[in-house]
Amino acid sequence: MNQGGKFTSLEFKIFCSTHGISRQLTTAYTPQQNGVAERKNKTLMNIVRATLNERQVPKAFWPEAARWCVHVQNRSPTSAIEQKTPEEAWCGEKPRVDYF
Amino acid sequence: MAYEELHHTMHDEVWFLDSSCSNHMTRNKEWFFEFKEGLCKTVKHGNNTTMIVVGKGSIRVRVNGFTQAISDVYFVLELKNNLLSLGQLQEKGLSILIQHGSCKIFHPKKGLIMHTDMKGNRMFYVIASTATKNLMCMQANTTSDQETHLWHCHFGHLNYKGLNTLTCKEMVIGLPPLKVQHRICGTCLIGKQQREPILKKCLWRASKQLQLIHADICDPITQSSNNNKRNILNCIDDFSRKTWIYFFCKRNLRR
Repeated sequence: MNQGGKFTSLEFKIFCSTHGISRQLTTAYTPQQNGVAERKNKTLMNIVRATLNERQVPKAFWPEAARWCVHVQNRSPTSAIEQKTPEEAWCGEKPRVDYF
Repeated sequence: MAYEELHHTMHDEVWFLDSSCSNHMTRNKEWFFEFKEGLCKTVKHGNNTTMIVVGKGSIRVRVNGFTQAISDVYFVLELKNNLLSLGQLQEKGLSILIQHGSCKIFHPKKGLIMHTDMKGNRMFYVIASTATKNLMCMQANTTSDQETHLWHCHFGHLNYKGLNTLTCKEMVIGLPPLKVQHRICGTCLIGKQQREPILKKCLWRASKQLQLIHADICDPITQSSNNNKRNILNCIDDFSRKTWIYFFCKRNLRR
């Protein structure tokens, strides 16, 4: 999680401490420390732009595209885990993709 | 047919400028940098003898300090002297001026590229050494690999091309002609390396679900959605790499 007001609210702090979550904040203005999340962001937005552009969908529909992207990404291979898709690693079942 | 007794060692490098020969000819195969064999042709001489043209190609020679490429040169084994056909030169767009006891050849763009004075028996010829030979001889004169490297270091690891420019254009005094270097300078490579390489595999990975969640809020997207949302919060589970995203209007998590 990064610094700079995003995750530093008091509410969130209290929520974390009451639920036994430890926070690891990155140094401000060093997105490099949050590589995984930042990289995912980039991949996501790339797909969003690509899909919206392909079908000439108005840009205002980006959240819909983003939702779908995440859905697909969770069912796509990733270098971080082998032989499984994130979805399978999460719930232990092979995901169905026949409805795509 | 022109013929002249010359000192034997020079013999190969003499090219007679001949207006009555139909094609450039040489008997020295080593000069060709591009060569095609099997040309079924003969050349006829003034005394009605014929010689077989073994092949045809292009040569590169150094005349008056300039390197010239000459194409369509016949390779004739029995030939005694190299011949440069003035007619053929003229076909390439060159102008030939023979006047006041000298012969000058002009290139339409480069200007004067060759000139020679009339020799004793009213002959015109040029001394042309092969460019390849010349290179080899230059290399023999140049300094050793080690010295070149030393100069590279002297100049604060200046690239070899830069060193070469300095020598070729005589921009400095006291720099010896350096050898073409293909050695890679390790120090230079280290100097170019600004940071440690990023590890492909991270040092620690979560061993179970929800142990570590990467989270980030992306920068506001310029085009707000139909529901006026402008930000994405993404959460990635480190173990499974499953991603969730949430949308919200603005950064209302501020302290």
